[in-house]
Amino acid sequence: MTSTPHDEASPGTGEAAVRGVAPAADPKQPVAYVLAEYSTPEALVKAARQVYQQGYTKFDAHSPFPIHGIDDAMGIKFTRLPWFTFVAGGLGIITATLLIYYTNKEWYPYLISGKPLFSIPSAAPVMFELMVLFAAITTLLGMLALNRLPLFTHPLFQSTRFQRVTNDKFFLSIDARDPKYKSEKTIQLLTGLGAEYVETCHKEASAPLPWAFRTAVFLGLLLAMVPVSMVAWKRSTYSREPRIRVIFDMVSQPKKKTQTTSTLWQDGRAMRPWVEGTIAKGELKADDAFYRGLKPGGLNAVAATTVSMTNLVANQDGAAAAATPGAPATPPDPLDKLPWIENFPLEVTPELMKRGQERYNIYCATCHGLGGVGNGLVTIRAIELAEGTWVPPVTFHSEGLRKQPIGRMFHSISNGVRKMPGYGDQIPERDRWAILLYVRALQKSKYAPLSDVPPEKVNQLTDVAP
Amino acid sequence: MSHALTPEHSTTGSHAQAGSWKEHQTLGALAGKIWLPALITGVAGLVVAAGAAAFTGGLRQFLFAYLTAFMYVLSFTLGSMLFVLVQHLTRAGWGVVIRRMQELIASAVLPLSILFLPILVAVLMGNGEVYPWNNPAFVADHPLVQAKASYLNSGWFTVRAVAYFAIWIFITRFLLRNSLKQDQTPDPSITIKLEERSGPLIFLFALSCTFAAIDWMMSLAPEWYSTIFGVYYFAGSMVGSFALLNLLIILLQKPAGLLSPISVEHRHDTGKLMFGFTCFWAYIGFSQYMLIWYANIPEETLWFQARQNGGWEYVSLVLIFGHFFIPALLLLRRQFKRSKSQLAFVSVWLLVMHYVDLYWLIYPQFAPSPVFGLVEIGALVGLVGLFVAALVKAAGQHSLLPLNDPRLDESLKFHNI
Repeated sequence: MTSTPHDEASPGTGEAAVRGVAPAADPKQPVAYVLAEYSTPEALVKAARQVYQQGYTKFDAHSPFPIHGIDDAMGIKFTRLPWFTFVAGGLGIITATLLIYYTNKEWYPYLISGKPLFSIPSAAPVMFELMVLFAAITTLLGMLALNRLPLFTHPLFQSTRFQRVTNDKFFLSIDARDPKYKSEKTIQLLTGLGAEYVETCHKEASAPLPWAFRTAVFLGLLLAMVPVSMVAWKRSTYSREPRIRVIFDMVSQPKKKTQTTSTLWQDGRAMRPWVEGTIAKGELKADDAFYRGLKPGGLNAVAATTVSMTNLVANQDGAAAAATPGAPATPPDPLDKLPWIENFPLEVTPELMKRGQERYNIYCATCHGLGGVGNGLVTIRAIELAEGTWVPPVTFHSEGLRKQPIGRMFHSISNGVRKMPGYGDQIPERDRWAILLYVRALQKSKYAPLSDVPPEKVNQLTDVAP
Repeated sequence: MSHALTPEHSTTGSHAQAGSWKEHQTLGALAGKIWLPALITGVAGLVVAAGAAAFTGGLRQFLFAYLTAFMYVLSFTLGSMLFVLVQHLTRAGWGVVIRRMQELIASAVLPLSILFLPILVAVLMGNGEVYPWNNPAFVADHPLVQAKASYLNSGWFTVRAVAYFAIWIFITRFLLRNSLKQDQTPDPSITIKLEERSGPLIFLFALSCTFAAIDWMMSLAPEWYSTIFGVYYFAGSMVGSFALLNLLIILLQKPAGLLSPISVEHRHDTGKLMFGFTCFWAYIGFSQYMLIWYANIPEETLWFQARQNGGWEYVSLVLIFGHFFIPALLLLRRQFKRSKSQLAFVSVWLLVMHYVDLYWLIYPQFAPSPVFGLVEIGALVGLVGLFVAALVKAAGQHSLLPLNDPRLDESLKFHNI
């Protein structure tokens, strides 16, 4: 291929006679492109316009820089790419909306801090990101597709003159597949349009890949199968060995279970004891009157006694035993000295009284009897069976119990008295006070004068003394 | 096509090809026709606003209306200022022909600095009704505001306001003076100087613009804060600035016959930038909303609470659709950016929406429900009138296009792919 200076070509003398047409690299291959060289952008624009007006559709202009007006000259229509981008962006928004809706609201609803399962503000960033992602990827792929890229090589690259397209020369190429293409006529057209040089580029006879390259690709593909097959094998077989985990699930996080040991602390316990003085939520019982029936500061008086509040019951057992003949004299009851409250520490209402009656009949009446005289069904049965250890319950209407401070009675219900176990764990404080209110009412009823009864109820009484 | 800055390049290119349009590119007699009516309209508008305020909300309403309108016109100058700085910083060639317009808009900040005085005087007189941090009774009740007292007090507020205006006047003076100098001599060293200084200046601009937005608008709700607030105001400013630029170009081209070298390609690009900043505004606005909505911290949601109740929710919806969805969908189309009438329509639309945006930012601190009447219209007409007068004054008898910029040729031949 020699550089021939441009000269007027005489038409109709055949391909070989056209001066300036260089022989192809491999003339045996069919012609793929006709390439014409120009030295100014103006000449290229002029030639492109002519070629376009002649009706050619598969041709291209090549230049080292963008030329204004070349699009119009070549009749290039505005690209369809923005529509691809627009549609893809819309699809991205729809995809993101459906994705968030189904994952967060339908398939795996998970309430976090009472926030709505699906809401536009929290979905908007994802919608935006997916819109951008879809639009960007579609634009890139669409651009590649519309340009028919990637292309590993091109017949035009066979021309050594074409290399100057990146430097200072301008080229016009016409595809041989163009319907208007006619070997000789096309060459003549380009030559007539002031081309400095016209040559034909032929299809390349493709050479086979080198054997080493082919082997390497084959081996690489084979090796790439190994991890995939291993995963597939492990997933489809059973084993006694612990599972292989590449990524740990949250269920297998490092944590200590109840009663396990730990090397983290000196005592070796994983469960940590409460820090001294800790009060659990809802367990602060600071109101002495309501929770213990004691006057303010009563706990200090309890501390001054030799016994604690909880083992006072055992002490009373001793007191009961001492009452039998021949035993030593009864020691003074330490409970008598404590500052018990005399009045109810909560508002007394008819509702509380009703509640107390109901609770009394449930918890107390079985032993103490409905009237509080100690003739409950359990007591009657125990006496019939002559149960030796049975201590009959006292009557509430004795002088001592009628004058006993209300706090002291509250303590009896809570912690028990003699054989009666403490009911503090079963009956909440408020109900204990309600029961006491009813007991006080029972006590009062036994000694009530007729004047206490409302006049309209008097005739309901059955055994009124005349 | 080369980007080399040689005097030969610029002289031969521009003189040979564009000698004709360089003759009549000043406002000339038009300036006289605009200046006085604009000034009279402006003063009349303010008088009407003050008069109407005397019957309704008093000084407090007048100051709020005035502040809203002031931030509105100020945003044009700030947006233009930044655009010129960015043009120099990126060594942009395409925008040279529209740069002078932007420089002139930015220069209107000098007369605007005088118009800030009513607000400054109100703050210095201790009018705590506009800025609650200026009210000792309010501060005593609000521990959070007490903690900010070292920043939010009238003295330091004044110092900062003066500093902002000093920075802006310095930037605009520097940009315009050097650009005008280049009209006389095609010396590329001036361009190089502008490019070198634009870097540091853009830092000063960014800080002053952010702090000004925080001081003058965000501190109306002194307990609330948003770190993105300055960017939000700046984003809206850019939209307003490009809308104003597009409108001015179209107005000056058609009836006045000026700015003929600004072609459809340049308008296409300013339209693109307007579109871009419309989306940017929405992005910033949403970022601010989303984080606060999601974090759900009471003292942060307070500000949006005021804007979602009592009728403000409708203004918020108008903003979402009017300031983003509608203009964005319109501007998405190439045709809308290239047609003069369509671009003018979107520009006017966005100028209105930009005012609604600032109204939405400022006014909920004044009233729990939207108030819009003679006071607001008067203040808006007043400040826009004074702004136009200031703009004409800034434009003076200067050419509306740069005459000797080394990249002028590139800009004249600019063509969208």
